[in-house]
Amino acid sequence: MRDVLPGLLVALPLLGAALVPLLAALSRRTTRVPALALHAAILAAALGLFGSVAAAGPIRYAVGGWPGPWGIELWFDGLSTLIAVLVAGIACFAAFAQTFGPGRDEAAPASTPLREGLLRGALLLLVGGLLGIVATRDVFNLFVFLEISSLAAYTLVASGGGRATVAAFRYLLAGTAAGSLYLFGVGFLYALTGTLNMDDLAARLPSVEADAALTVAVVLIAVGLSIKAALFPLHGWLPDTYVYSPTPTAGFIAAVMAKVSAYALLRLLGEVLAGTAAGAVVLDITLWLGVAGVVAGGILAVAQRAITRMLAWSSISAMGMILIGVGMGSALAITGALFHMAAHALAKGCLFFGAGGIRASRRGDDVEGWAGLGARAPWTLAALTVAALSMIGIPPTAGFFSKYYLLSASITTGGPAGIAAFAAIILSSLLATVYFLRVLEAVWFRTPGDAPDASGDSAGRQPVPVLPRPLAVPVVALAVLVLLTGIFARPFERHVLPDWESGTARITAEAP
Amino acid sequence: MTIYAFAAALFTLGIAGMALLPNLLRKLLAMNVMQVAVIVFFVSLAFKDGATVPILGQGGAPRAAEFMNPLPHTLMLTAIVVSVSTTGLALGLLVRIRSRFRTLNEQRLLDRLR
Amino acid sequence: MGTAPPGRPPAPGTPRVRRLLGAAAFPALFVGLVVGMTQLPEFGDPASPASTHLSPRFIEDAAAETGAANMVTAVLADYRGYDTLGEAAVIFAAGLGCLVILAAAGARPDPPGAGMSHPFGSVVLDAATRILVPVVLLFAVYVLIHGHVSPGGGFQGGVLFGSGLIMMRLVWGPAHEGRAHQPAVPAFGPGLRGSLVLACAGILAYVGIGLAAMAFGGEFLNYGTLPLGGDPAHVRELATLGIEAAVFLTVAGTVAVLFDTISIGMRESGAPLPPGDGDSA
Repeated sequence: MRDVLPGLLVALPLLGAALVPLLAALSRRTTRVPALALHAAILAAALGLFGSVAAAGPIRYAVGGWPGPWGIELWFDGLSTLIAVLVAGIACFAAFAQTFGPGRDEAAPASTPLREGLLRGALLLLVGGLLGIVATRDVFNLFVFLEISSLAAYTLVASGGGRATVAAFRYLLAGTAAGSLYLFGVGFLYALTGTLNMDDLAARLPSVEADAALTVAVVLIAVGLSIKAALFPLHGWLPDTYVYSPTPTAGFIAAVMAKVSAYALLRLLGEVLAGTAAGAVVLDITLWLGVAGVVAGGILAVAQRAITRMLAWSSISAMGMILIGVGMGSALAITGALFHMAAHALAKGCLFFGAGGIRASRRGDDVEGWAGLGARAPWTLAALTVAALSMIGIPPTAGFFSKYYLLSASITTGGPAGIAAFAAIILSSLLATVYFLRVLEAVWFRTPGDAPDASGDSAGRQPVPVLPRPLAVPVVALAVLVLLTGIFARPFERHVLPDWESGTARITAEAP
Repeated sequence: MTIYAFAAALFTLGIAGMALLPNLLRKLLAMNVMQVAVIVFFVSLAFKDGATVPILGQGGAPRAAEFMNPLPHTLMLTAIVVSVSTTGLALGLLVRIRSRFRTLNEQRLLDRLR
Repeated sequence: MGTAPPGRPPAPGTPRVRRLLGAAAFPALFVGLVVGMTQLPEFGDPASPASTHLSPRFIEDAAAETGAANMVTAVLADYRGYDTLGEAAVIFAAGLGCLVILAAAGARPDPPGAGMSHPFGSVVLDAATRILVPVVLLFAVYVLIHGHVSPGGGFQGGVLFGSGLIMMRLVWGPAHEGRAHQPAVPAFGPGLRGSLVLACAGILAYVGIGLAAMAFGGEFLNYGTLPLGGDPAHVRELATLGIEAAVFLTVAGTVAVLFDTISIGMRESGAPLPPGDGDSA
């Protein structure tokens, strides 16, 4: 199995991305079943790899049979398999939510089996791109898969029509600038070392004496990936993209897209470039920008009236939190950052699936529209409440433990950076309390106003369900996962999160 | 060195155009300039004095000094395809924006969205 | 922006704040890049790391290891064949995207009339196209097959083939409708749906070859394990040709899809915009 799973993990999504549109074009029937089966197979491959790596150690896989640095290698360790499971798992929920179609999302064009098949293909392509980024050990290959995931994401965002098209174009400009900056940085690295393989780079970089050129390379790569990871103040593309995307897309992108770029940032800055002087400085800057992002994202989330936009700003705050962990760089901090990636992906996916569905079925995106919903749909709203509590950081949800690890890490880090990180994390919880309690108060303690379809409209039609089933199932399942991750936080941290050993430590250990 | 600086200038022009031009189509053209800059940079890394194009001719075993480095050319073939694809998708988006909002001016578009 | 037409406010420019920020940031970017570049190896230096670390193997051993005289093809389709799968996936993504955004937007899944609304029909164009198109298509296949020993390959051939398809659409009108100018010309080449099928088939063939290598016990895309007979380099050469053909299909199909969808979108998007809003700005 160890020999086959890495290849399957990267091949299956690309196979599906062509197969599903082909079926849709030829048969003109719905492609729901093949697409869901493919997503399930991808998740199974990711889980299998995760188990295999946990049982028998990391896997190096030479695609094409050419070992690195001549060929392209894949590298699966605890970190990459964890993110792969996260991506593949949430993709299953997104694929399930795609059966919801555009629903009553405003301005979305009518769905046909062909269009549905194309969108399913685009989701598979997005998953393939993200898994490619996670798996690769080659800096140029990372760029290629970054662009695959980006183009698929622009497509899925733009499928919302209307304003989503404009959001997608702005996302495309930002994403392409990010990709080009990254590639320029890779060019500098290649000119200095002559290699593209991450292990080879890490081995050859310490002997490179061109400090200025190396600094330029590190900065270009860091800025490029930070744009994709929505690190403050490079987050400009994020709010509109999340708000105007169709609901299944918004749930998936908000859950994992930026986090995969944060993962790439961690891989490159924390491991490959960690031995360089510039790498350490850039990590410090990342920490401070993370602090700024946590605070700014939180404050702007409080200022929003629309719930999806509030969630988008809260994501910027959360990405800041993850990058604080990456910037601190200690084993404990990375544990916290990874825990927060998982906790936030589960909770934010849940919230976006829920908020998007409620926006579409009730035609409202503000707190008033949510008034009294708790009485009408207690289960789904309870699930959304669990996710919101996780965002605030209330035990026993997963969000509490990620903040706990990050706070502990900031205490051990100490100094002005540690103090700032500590204060920012506490402040973010307070701000999250403010903006989520507003909503929760309306949901559970207010009676519904005269929402348009509170009891079926005047024509006597059935009342619209608060959440259609294709969205309600992911919402409840993700909330359960948030709770389970929190309740079993200790085993999760011990057995699921990888032991992080920073590249600096490894390189100094290897050099006698 | 001159050609490196040329790539840097193109890159700066492109990215500045993306940020500063008011028209979305022009932003897209500037984006292309930026991408071409990276391609120029990579291809110039492949150049080797006294070497020829990396295609084997007749004759004995090839020696590394005789041919240019094929790797950057390969990478840039991929980068060109990425650039073409991004441009194609962006044009599709612009056509849609044009018919829906009847403007490609960024400020006016943002006003209409408000 | 020039002068605004009477009765219209001039088109707004870029906000002042952003212009000022840009005036500071972009010169800094340029200076930073150039300072870094001064420490790079000299242009054309045969002793640079880029020229000495990986490339000697690609130059000296590629022909023996992969059977391709064109080293770029060897690296592209074999050593870094996984990158090239990604490249095919990227262009496929663009085709999917344009279909989603433009063509599949309406109620009709495959609008008849994928192509220009008003083909520029004329006898001269018609006669020239009849002669040129077969030459272009044939040359495309030559560039594909000959990519092993001369500049060329799947991407270049695919673009050429796609441009042949576009040429027919430009002159004779949409592939689906009766020909606007010369109804007697037989319909040739794939329409929009057919082009999508071509592109999908290309990706499937590429991944299929990779998976077949796995079925015979190798890594993904390790063509050496395929039971095609002959010595390993020859097997790799044959498989590389298959890979290039897959890229060819994907690129040719996608190029036609891009042209069709964008021309459908342009036809539906109405009259030209006033100068300040775009078309001539």
